Amino acid sequence: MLFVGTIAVLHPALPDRSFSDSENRVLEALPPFSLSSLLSGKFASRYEKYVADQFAFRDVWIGLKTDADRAMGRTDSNGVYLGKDGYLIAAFAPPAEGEAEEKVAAIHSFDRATPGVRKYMMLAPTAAAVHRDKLPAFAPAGDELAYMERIRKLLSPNIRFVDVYPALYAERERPVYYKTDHHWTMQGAYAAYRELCKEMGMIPKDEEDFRVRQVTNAFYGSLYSKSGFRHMQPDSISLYLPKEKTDYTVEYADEGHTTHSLYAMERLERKDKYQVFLGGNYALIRIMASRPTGGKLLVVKDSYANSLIPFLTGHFSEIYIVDLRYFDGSLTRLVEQHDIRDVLIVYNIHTFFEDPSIKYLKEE
Amino acid sequence: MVFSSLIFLFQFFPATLLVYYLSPNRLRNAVLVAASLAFYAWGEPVYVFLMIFSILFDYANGLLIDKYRHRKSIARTVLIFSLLGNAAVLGFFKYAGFLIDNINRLFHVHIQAAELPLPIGISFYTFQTMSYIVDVYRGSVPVQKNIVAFGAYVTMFPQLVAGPIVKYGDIAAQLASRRMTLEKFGEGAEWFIRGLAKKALLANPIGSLWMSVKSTPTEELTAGYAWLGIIAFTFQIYFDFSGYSDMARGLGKMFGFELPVNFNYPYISRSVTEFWRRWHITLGSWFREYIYIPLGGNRRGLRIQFRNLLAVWLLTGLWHGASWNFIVWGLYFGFFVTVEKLALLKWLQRVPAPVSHIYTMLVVIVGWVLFEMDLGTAGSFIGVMLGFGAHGWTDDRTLYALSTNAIPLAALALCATPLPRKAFMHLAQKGKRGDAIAVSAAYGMLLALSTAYLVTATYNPFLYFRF
Repeated sequence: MLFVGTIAVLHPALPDRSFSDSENRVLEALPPFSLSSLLSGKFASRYEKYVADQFAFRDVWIGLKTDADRAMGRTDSNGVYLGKDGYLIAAFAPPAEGEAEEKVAAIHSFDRATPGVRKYMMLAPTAAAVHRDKLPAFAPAGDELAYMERIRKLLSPNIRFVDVYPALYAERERPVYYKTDHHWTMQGAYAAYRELCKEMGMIPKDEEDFRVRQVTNAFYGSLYSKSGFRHMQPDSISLYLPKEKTDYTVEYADEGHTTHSLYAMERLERKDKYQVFLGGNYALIRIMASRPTGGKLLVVKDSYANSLIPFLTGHFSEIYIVDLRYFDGSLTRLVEQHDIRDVLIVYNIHTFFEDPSIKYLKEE
Repeated sequence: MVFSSLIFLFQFFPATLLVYYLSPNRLRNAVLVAASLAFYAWGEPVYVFLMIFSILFDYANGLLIDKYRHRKSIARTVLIFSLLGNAAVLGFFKYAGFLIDNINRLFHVHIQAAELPLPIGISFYTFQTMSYIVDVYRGSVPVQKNIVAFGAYVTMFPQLVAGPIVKYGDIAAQLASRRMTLEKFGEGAEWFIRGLAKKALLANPIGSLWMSVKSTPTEELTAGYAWLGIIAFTFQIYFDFSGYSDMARGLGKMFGFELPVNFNYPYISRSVTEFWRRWHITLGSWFREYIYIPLGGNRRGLRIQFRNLLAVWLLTGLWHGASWNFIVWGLYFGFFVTVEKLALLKWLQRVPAPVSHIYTMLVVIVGWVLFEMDLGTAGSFIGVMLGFGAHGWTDDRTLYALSTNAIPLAALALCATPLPRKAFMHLAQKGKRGDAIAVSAAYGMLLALSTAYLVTATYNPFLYFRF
């Protein structure tokens, strides 16, 4: 009784929060009252959401629940597995029938519209494939490799498929993926970079050419939030900084601002520290090297590319980075306008199947 | 509103309780009616008027029957009028769509049915008002002249939306005056917390296993996964429903009422007949008292008895929902109860206990398939359970679900027996101070954990923002 009473009093006493850091979303505010919303039942359901969102010590309760679940032997929460050695691993949900064909058709359409431009496709596996031995016993985490093979077979020979799985798998004893986040680490991206160089006919830089600098050791990533599991070791983020320094100009086209670094260090103060790479995802970013070293590259990508691109800057004098989720121009025009000779498509296999925006590649 | 929601638990309930106990005795029924109407209107802002109409209708009919008690024919006419009225309301809101659907299919016509949502609790409160009218007609209960007291009987929010079905006679005296003691209040709080824990900690989590099995296409199911799923549902529905009944009983006690017990560990039964004496007890006794016995029960020969059983089980099925699978589900149990009456019951008492337990649970579990799925899907699902058309006996998904749910399933099985309750009682009754504190602490823990599960049910991280 005392407990119920305390909570009942605490709710109005504590100030409402507008945003939850751990859930990364805006919390429901007290809904405005009107007779019509009351009669339709909308007021009631929004008010209930409001009470839940603003519940006193909400985050503590959520932690208590996942702790109890763990004690009962549960090893998954919200589509995330609690793996061995502190790995949180997102399950791969098999895509809908015809999804693979549709996406490949869009890529082919783009290919036909830009003849003579070399194209590379890199589909990154996630920890669910590379660290499958760290999954809980019997955990059905989806078969990423089968779908990767499917895409490879569907792609026309014009588009070189860069298979990075073997390289990542060979490196699996090293931290190639974050434990609490769904991304690969810069070390994982480095392994992918070497594979890409093979396909592109470039000589990759050696690992000794980089100085590895740890910039944070308190990164609780997206899988930590999604699962709600507590008591996890935070990740650290390390950057591969070339020993031989070059200057860059990084232009954010829509935002209209320019920097001279590939890393947005101020993002390390925030919750999503992976945004240190290129400051997160933007519609169009253009990176120009001060010393022209090669041709022009267009990267069509999701966030996995953000930690890969720093390795590519040494090989191209200009890199155009397009995120189709935010970009609303014409890619074909972009390629023609800037006389781009190489196009690299980089996605992790989850986003590739889940994100509908890849279909925008299709040319009318 | 439901009991297992944060808004009920931490806003509506404490506020109502406070106002109730601050009010003088004579106003308490009125407070209860007002709170109950608000409780109902929260989820059904329009249908609340239907319920108010239903109350006024049967309140008036009760008065009329009482007034013309000495003129049998008038009293009888009012009774029939009232019963038809209730049946019409129930029929219109619950069964019209089903009826029109079948007429359309049978005669290949296209009558448009108005797609009305089912008013919450209508099956419960119409059964209550009908029991009142019948009992007044029979003279077994005095007529209720006070509209507020009658309103309190029908709307009382603890039992309004999901039972137990309280017969008017059980509660008539309590409506006029009831004793409230601290001890009774404490007992009520314990019943409520047990019920809440059943719902939030046991039923909801295992329900998610059933949801993932149910949403798997039948051709992808392994036999093992199908069994795991329906066993999960077997636990889910019991802890959900009995949890709700326990909460209702607990709330009733906290307001000074004694509501009937609705579940008595049905899964420890040794026959289907026994199962139905332990499952949703107030519904079974309603049908016995107002259908089976008035039709002649078992005293007018075997043929009449069979007819009566058929009627009761058909109605039991229909009461649970307006579709064919519920009818089949009702008749399915009617069949087993009848066979047991004829012969099986004696045999079941002789065989070793595990045999009769297994028999009963198999009948019940297969019954839940009929209850949960439409007939076509239920047929192929039962096929998969037997290995026909199954995607093998087991696969990774099955083994994963089994290994991660092993502890919860064991806990559920244990909680479906009286053992945990007995252990609690034993500790509480020994009277040692330390034990009593331990019991209170355990209830506190249950309440805290339930809160955590309810809060987390709304945990909805938004992650796909610029990622």
